[in-house]
Amino acid sequence: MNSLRILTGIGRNGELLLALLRKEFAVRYKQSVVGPLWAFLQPLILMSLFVMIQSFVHFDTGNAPYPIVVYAALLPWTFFASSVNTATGSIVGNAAIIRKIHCPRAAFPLAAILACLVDFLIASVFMAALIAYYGIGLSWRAGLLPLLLLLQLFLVFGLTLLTSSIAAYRRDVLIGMPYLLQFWLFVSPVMYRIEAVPDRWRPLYELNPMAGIIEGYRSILVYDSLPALSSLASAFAVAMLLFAVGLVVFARLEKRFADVV
Amino acid sequence: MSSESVIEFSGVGKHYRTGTSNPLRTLFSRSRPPGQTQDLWALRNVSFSVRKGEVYGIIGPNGAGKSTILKLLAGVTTPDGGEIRIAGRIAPLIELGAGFHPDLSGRENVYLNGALMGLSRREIDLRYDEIVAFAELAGFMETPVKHYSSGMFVRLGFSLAVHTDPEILLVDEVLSVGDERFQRKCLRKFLQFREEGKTIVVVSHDLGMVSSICTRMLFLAQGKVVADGSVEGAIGRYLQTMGEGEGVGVLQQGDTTVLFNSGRASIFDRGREITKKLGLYTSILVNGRDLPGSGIWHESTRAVWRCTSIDSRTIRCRGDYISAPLAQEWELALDEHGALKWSVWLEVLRRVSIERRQANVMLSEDYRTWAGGSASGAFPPEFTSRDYHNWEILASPEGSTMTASGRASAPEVQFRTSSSGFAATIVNSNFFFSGRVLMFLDPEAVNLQPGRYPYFSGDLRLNEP
Repeated sequence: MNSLRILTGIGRNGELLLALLRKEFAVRYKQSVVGPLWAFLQPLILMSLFVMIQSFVHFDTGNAPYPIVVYAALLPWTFFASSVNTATGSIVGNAAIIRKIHCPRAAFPLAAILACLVDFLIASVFMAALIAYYGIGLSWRAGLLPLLLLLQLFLVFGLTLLTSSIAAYRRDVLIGMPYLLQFWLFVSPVMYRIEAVPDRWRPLYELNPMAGIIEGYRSILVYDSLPALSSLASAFAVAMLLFAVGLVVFARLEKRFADVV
Repeated sequence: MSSESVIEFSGVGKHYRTGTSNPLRTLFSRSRPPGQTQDLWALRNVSFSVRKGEVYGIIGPNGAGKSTILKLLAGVTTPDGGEIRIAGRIAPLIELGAGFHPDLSGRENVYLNGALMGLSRREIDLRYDEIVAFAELAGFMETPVKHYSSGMFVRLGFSLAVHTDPEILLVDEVLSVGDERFQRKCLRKFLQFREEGKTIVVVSHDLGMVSSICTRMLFLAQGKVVADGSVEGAIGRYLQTMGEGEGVGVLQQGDTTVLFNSGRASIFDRGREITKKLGLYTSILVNGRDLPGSGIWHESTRAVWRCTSIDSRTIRCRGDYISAPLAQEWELALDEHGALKWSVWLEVLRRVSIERRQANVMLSEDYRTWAGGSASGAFPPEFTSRDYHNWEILASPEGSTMTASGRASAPEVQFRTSSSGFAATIVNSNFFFSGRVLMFLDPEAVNLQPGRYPYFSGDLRLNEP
């Protein structure tokens, strides 16, 4: 199938992904002072903001310290937001290459996502520190975290195959993405827990695949409990659907990238 | 695909949409027949094939679709009709310095581009030193390329492209950039590629460059093929179609065709070029400490030419040198017997001291023997001189007529002067030009005041072998 060829193209050329990843980092931190420390700073700043708001709004924390409740959500959320944002612009951003060299183009959004994944891993160090500080015990359930991460990777890759290829034709997607993500943050259980959402809104709310994923992280990292299957199932369904649609659309639109981008 | 062809275009079409179209429609309609909206056809029903080892030139005015063909060949875009078949690994040389990222160093860019072209890190490691040496950028590889000069940028891009071991090389106007010395280095690399049996596709506006290196040529206008085949045929059609305005002109009589292009005249006999590269040209060695351009040979190809009057028998052109305060006027007339009369005048704009001057014809290496006066001899098969200007002088025969003969099918060339002061000289050019040169050399240094002087007059005849 034509849509799958865009994946095998990347598979055949693993070195390309590595080289693009290296480029992402080299370019990103070339003239930056704190460099990779930004990976901490981004979620840390949001966490401080939410902790401040919580001091007078009083979200229900389920008897856990609020900083860790919010950071466990900010960890996957920051990864999601930054990877969606950069990967959406990856086709437009690499226009100079795309116009000149024939290469598997799906590697561009994927490399952008993987570069953000490295930030995610750096930010995880702070998560570990919080867990140690608050003396939270982790069990075998922590072994499920890679599955959540994998689900999120599929979700982001599928979504950005769609957005990055449309952005090549219409810049509206690029311009609108930060606003969409801002909106998305508030309809995701980041500063509040999913329990705060009224029951009758829950089925609709859980159509947001990040709801299930974020709550999954929080259940495991803060409450040492299993994630709610219903919300995870809907996240899985949405992620797979987006991935399939993303592949088909990307395969169709990439033919004219060099002409339009 | 025939066994020999490495590139085959059959009925290829490519259109671009102008104005705005709705991308969602592109998404959901299976195959929207193009042509409904404001479509611009960049290529229409284009068919041609390139055989292994050919240097294939594509010429045409701006917007003819030349670069679109290269894009299709490079695989960065897909055709909207027809079929393209390519056998062999293609180097992406569409405009040099293709995917360089300004913030990355030269070294980082080499590795990134290598990976984009499908090379492994180890493969790039093996070639890295060669790439740097050819680009002459040792010591600059850790510098971000945004600090490179445009020449450095181009050199690195060219070096990278030719060192990726391509079987098919795509060249787009590259030789218009970089300094002259590097251009020659690139040309030498092309010749080496050709000798290795690799295929080169060249797109250019520079008729002189393409006609000197190409073996076959395609002339494209408004996305359609106008002529495909011999270099002389394609250029002839190009000149007829595009108008003989600037520094080009064509004469034809019987079996003989003369193509003037910016300070050189190429001569064709029954469609085969008997000259090579510079063809009929002049060269002047200027001396004088206070003058620009002193101490170097000024070939007539260095001037900027305009043809002032052209009829079916005569071309009259003027070339202004940028490199020296000189101008030349040429008159080329082809008579009914196919004899070419060549008259040259020199206009001096500021006082110059001219050390030596020449009027030459460079013939193809197919020419094997020479004769002049009572002397005769054979051209050595090898071109030993590696120096650009100091060529191997074989003999200086008496008299004012020289002849050269070659293979059975090639006509004997007789070159004669009616000007005094010129000595007949038989020369083997350097390795780069690989041509036999019949040279009329005036070795006497003269100081010239501003004015117009007769420079040379002579004629060139092709005699049946």
